Amino acid sequence: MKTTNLILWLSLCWIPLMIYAMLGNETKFKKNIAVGVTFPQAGREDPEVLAQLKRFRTAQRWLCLALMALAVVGALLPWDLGWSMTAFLVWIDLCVVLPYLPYVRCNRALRQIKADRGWARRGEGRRVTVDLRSAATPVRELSLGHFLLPALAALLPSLWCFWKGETAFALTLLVNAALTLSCYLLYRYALRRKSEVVDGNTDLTEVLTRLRRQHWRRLSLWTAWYLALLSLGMLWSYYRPLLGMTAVLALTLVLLLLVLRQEFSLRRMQEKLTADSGVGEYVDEDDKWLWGLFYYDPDDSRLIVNNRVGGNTTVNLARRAGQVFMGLTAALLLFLPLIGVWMVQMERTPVTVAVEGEALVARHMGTRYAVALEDIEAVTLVEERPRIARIVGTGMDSVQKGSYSSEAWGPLTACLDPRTGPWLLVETGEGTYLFGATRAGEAEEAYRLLEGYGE
Amino acid sequence: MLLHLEFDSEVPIYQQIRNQIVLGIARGELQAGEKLPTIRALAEETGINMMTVSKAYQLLKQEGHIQTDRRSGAVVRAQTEPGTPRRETVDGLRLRLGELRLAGVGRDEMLALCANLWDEEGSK
Repeated sequence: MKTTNLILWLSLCWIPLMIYAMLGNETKFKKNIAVGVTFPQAGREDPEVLAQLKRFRTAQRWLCLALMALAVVGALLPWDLGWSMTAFLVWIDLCVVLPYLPYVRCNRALRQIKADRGWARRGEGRRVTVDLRSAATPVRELSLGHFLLPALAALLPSLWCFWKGETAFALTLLVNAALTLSCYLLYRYALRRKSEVVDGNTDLTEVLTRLRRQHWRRLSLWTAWYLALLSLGMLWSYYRPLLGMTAVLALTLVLLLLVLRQEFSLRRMQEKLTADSGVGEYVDEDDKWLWGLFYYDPDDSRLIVNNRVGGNTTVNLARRAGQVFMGLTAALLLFLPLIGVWMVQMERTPVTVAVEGEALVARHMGTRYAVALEDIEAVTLVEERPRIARIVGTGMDSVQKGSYSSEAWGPLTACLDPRTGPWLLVETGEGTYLFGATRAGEAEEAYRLLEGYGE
Repeated sequence: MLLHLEFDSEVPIYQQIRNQIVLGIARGELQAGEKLPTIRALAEETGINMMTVSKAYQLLKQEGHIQTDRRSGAVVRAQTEPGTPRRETVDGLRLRLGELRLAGVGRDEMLALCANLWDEEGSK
């Protein structure tokens, strides 16, 4: 059992539980919909409908248990990070895809019941329903000012790094500040979504729409503040890696919990408010939702649309951009395990250090660091395994490369195999480098050739 | 008031918007002075083009059902001339009566049908 494996698997082993909670929640009627199928009020008490929903919950429960058991097995296997990561990413794929198989089966069975009972819409073509009064209600919006404060907070660490001359890191933090401000744009975009029409009850439509907008308002503001605090956390981790990273992780966990709490709270409200709906006229858009999951409406010019239940969004597959987005997401899921294979390759490729012509060169896979011999001010052979913390780059059992920091030497560029010493500490006028090779003796050989430089 | 737009219908979308708003006013579902959604808001709600909504509002304005201004947008107009049908309405009615006549509907049948529809719409 390896600690890195244990952290990797246990940090995300709750994913099946979260998916189980989300999909299990789909069996509770909200806005007359259960598992992506719209029913009249009578459908909520139909024994066959209820039996299907129960079967779906049971299948989800077993699937969740099986996936969590797989995570425990994965955590206990004594594999290297690369193989463990490959297995982990395959497991993530399974977590995302498998629970939707019983969902689709249940959705199809429910649609059949709906058709058999005569509850399906017949003789009506493609249509859209809008509540005129609700659409005319002015929207209470957050101003740009609400997002300026977190954007400013996100900008400060960046300015600090520019002032300290850490340009690369400053630019990373600047991107974070820009993302903070983009939360406002996303919020404005989210506000343009359709009202939540369930039936002819305008008051209900307005309350549901207000709740959805409030949901987006909160999410946008929370995300903006999260990004601002993340910038501060990243700056902190630059100087105090362990404390900083712990703070960033804690912050991410808090945001995740807040978002989940908000999502389930919205779902509870939707369930409660529409408990009496489905009598007389009610909105049924099932024909626009493939398996209750994918939105396809060629008459809708919008690219991003609300999910019918909860506060999430999806794309309109009738739009080219929607198809591209969904295709890329599917490709990402499909090829995700390849990242693990690439990591295996990284683990197996040795790090090399050598003097080549007029430069000291460290190599690993496609990465090459070269220090011109004339720039070298001092070279030291470090015998003790260096204690360095990653800022940006790769950190594995067999290779550490990229921007690192050390309490003893400050910020430095590393390319080394931490398992094989000694290591070369090279100081130049422009920065510090720490190089080391996988093959024993390679670093000493380079050191012998470099002796005399910088003295 | 719910607005249903049928994309498979032979009636153009702008005409459907116009017709349903007129019916909504006639049934009292939309009151005089009540605000209608802005062109942009209605286009976003329905997912249709803003030009289509604009055309419907233009028609409603020409017919005197709504009034628009920059400050308050589109507002349902009070019907100021009770008992005076517009010429286009009379022409439309004439056309429908002709169609009924062609369908073999007699005068009494037509009057009974009209009375039923009138009561039905009034009761909504």
